[in-house]
Amino acid sequence: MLDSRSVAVTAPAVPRASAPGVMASIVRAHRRMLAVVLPLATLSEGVELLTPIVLGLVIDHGVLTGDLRLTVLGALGLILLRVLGVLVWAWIFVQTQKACMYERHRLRVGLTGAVLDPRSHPVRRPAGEVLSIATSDADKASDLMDMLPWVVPSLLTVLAAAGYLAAMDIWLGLAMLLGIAVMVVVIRVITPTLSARYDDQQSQAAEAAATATDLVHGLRVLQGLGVQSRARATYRRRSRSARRAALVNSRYSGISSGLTTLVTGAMLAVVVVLAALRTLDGSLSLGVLIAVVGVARYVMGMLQGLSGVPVWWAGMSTSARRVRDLYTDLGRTVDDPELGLDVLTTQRDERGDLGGGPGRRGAAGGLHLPQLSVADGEIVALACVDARDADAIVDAVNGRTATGTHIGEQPLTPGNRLGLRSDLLVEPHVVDLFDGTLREQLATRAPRGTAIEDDTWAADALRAAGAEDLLRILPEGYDSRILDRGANLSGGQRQRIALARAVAADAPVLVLHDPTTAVDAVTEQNIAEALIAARRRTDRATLLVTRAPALLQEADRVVFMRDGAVVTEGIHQDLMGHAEYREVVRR
Amino acid sequence: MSGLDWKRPLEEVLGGDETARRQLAEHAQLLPIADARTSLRFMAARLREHWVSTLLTLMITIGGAVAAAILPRLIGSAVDVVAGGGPTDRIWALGGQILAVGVIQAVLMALGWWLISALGQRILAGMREDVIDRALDLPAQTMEITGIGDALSRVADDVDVAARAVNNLVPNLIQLGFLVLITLVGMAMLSPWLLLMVVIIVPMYVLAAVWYLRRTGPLYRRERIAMGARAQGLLSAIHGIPTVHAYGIERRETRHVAVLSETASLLNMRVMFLVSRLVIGLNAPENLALAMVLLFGFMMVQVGGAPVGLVTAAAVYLVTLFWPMMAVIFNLDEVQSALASLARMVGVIISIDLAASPGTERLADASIRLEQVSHAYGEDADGAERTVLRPIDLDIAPGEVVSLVGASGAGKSTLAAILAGTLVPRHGRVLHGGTDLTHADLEAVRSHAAIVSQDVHVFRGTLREDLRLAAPRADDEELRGALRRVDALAWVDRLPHGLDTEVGEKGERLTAEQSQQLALARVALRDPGVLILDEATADEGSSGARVLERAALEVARGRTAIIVAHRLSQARIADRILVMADGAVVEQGTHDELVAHGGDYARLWEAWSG
Repeated sequence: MLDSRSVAVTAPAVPRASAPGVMASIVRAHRRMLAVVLPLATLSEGVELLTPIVLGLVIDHGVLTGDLRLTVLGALGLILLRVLGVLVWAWIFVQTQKACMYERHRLRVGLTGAVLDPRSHPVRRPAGEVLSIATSDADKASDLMDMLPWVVPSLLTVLAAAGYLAAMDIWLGLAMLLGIAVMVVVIRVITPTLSARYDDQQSQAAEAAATATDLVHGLRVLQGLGVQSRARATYRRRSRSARRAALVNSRYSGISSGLTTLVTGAMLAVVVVLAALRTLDGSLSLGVLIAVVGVARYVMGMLQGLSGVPVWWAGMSTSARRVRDLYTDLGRTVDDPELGLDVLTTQRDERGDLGGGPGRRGAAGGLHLPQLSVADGEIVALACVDARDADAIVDAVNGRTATGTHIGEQPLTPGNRLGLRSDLLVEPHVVDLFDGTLREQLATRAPRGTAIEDDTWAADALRAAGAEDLLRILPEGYDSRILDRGANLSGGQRQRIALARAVAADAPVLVLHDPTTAVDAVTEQNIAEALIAARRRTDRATLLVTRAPALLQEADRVVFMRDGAVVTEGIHQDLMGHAEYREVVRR
Repeated sequence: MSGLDWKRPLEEVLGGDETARRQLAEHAQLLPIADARTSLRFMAARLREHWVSTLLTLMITIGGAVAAAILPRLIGSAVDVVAGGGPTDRIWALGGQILAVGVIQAVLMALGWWLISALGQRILAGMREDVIDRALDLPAQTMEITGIGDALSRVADDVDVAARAVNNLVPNLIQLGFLVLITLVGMAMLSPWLLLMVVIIVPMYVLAAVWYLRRTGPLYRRERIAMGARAQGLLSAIHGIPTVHAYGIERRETRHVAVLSETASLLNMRVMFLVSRLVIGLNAPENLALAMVLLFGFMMVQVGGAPVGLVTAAAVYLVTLFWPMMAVIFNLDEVQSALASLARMVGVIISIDLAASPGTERLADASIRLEQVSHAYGEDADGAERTVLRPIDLDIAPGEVVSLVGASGAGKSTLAAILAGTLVPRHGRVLHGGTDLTHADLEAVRSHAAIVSQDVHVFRGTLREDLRLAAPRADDEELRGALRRVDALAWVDRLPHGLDTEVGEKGERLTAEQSQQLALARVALRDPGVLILDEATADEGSSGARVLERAALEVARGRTAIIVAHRLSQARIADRILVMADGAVVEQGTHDELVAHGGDYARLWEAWSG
């Protein structure tokens, strides 16, 4: 018995923690930009802080003293300062957003390339999880570029503001520090409770959304059973519990928003009283009073913004870790040069890219397994007692494991299986169709030159797969769009399009695994004759792994296998004399 | 090193990727979308349903904004006291008032936030239930044409976008909006000069907002479509990895995702360019306002003899306004995106009807009768119907097992769907138990006939929950009984937690055969009088197919059964076989009769049985 697992080639797993970090990679990629942007951002944030201070100065020395010239000059100066500030801000904003978008795109495409690359370790996670890592986690990790140029300058200006207040009056400075402390405490105390409610709401909402998605996916089943009203009740239950969680969360969010407003209000009252008393005793001017109130409000606003940073950061580093772990599980790293954007967006497949592949290949020398051989010009069927034997043979032909299989003279090994794909096509039993027109489906791997002339090549492929009726059914013929996974087709139609696609590929060696399980008896009979006629060429070798008598009957030779070993072989009619064979192919 | 050309035309990004181009075409949205006025009217109606809490919310929110707008006046008064060299205890009193107003503001803000968010959540929960209700009644034929992508994005993505908005954005924006409004009123009331300023400044903000929204709206819409296509491309490539590798198209598929990802990035970056221009643009009214406060203040104090406190209050108002104004405008795009989702949800709710019961008549027994039934899909260019089923009369007795045999496209599935009552034929009458389906009670029909196709789906949740979809009140004994009947009890008992095992997308992966057994077990629990098996045991290796065939026959026992047969072994056991070709029944009889007759069926049987 062929055991693929024992000889499976698995690369040693890279320990996750030592893999290069995603955030470090992002920062490294943009370190020059950051070196310019961070100081400039501090400058532009400083202008924001200066506005109330300058405003106060102008009121003091211009408006109150009746100096119109100074008032106008002050106003102009203030405007100039703000215009400069906003221009710098806009430039920084564009730079950081570009970096952010670029990183999102780079991580996403890099992950996609890594997942699809046959040299990576196979993905062992659900597709939905990979999708969420490549979209939402890649986005969140890249937010680093959005966050850094804002958080660092904000922290610096808050400190500068506290310094300004202290310089005006030591008590004001102390009051400000106290305000900051109270705010931080309030935020530190509220945030955990709040984020727990928020998480609860989010997970309940996600649960409801997943239920909705699930029900729509299973819609045909629900409608078939006629249990729409029960599905409705199921969703309603989820929706209601999501609503309950959301209502609890909204109460807590309200309290949190109220608390920060309260701290800001109290802070304002203290600052106004302190500054007013200082102004009364003459140590501050009226303009400074205005400036101080403005600065205090600015700081409080900033703190509210900054309060979200810890949660933001936590989410970001979790996402970055998830991206890194996916790379590691695939045996790749974030900085792999082969997964760079420039490589992935320009490289073409040796075959499969329309117009990019070579022309028709000549004979490859047949397919040779330890148990059986298919010579050029031959069509051999393999019937197995146990479906696992069939799977093992298909695995061996896939070359993920070294089993002594040869294509012509060449041994098929994990190392060269990718190169040998131009001579060998193993059509998987589980049908997968990708979004595209019927013509595009058939042309997936058609040799260069065939696809551009007229549609005879496509008609031939459809005929060989017993799928000519599709041209009648589909409204726009070859230009009809086949949806992703063939969602707009029946199972039998999907299987026949996949079969036609394999025939159109015209591979020197073709292996088909149970190609007619989803079609009815009439169509199966048509396929058997047409398929074999299409493959009957002196430079083509075909292996059919099947138990369908219609196919077995048309094959040149049938190999009958039990427990990984050949029991007997010959033509179908002769083998029908073999009791066990008859039992296996009997329906 | 942002190595992307951000100004590159999208047409160039798409390059030779025709699939991406088709996916990005906006008309790919197939379910209806409501226009702005319809959405507005819909929301107004929903708010009216909750009019008490709407009114309360409105009052509290305005109260909070008024409290916030009082603060600058109190600060102005404090300045006046200082300017007049007034007593210290007046300062303390004003400090106390500021604190008190701050407390009131905080309480009202907290209450307001809660009320707005709660109201939003209530309305949203109602809407998402309405959307699902309609999605569950979407005719299978619609879904076959459109695919389920659009329906999925309505029930999951749109609901999610709207929920996020209701969570944070909506309460925040409504509060800020009222704050801006009331503050402007407060300023205008302070002095006619400031009223003049408000009159000049506000239109500039409105213009900027309109300019921005007009440009970002289409960008966001296209970005959303690109993101959807991107997700779909990635998912289908991952699902199809065996095929991708076999055909050597991994780079093509990676490039397809990259093209869509780049399109989405460029569209998003275009929005960001607009944002930077918007902020630069909004700097103008802000600066103008600052200059005016200073100049008007100069005139008020020096010419008009107004108190300094007035200028202070004006300056504080102004500084207070900058941030909320900016925040409102900055968040407009998220509002826009939420509104787009809203329009898509409202579109489904308003334009798609819930399946209504056509009548109240009950069904007497499990017999089926077709009277001159025929069916066609759409019409040809010259107006002729594309006939898929030619006129047919058929009588099926209760408990009879009928098998449909024929090539693909012969009309087997159409006839099966008509018999099941899930497809309404163009012409003719369908009677179940003597009752015309067009007068029958909807739920009665639904529980009377079940159809099992080769599309299997295992619902998420535990195995027990999955089975209870078919029979909510069934106890474990009944569930196990049903599983035993379809030969599934053995593997169910081997699952880590038996009936409590989590299955579906998140849980234990069941094989195609196990999933199909589960589907049959659901039918056993549902216990319908009529069972239609449409290729139910198709896509399987021979050994699995035999297990399923046995299970299907066991479940069909005692019911009127229509079997769309792939394997002639399924046809053989039927009481009657209908051989179909080109939308018509060409032979009819038992297996032995048909074999003896020597027609199409006999030839088929000979070839098939080897």
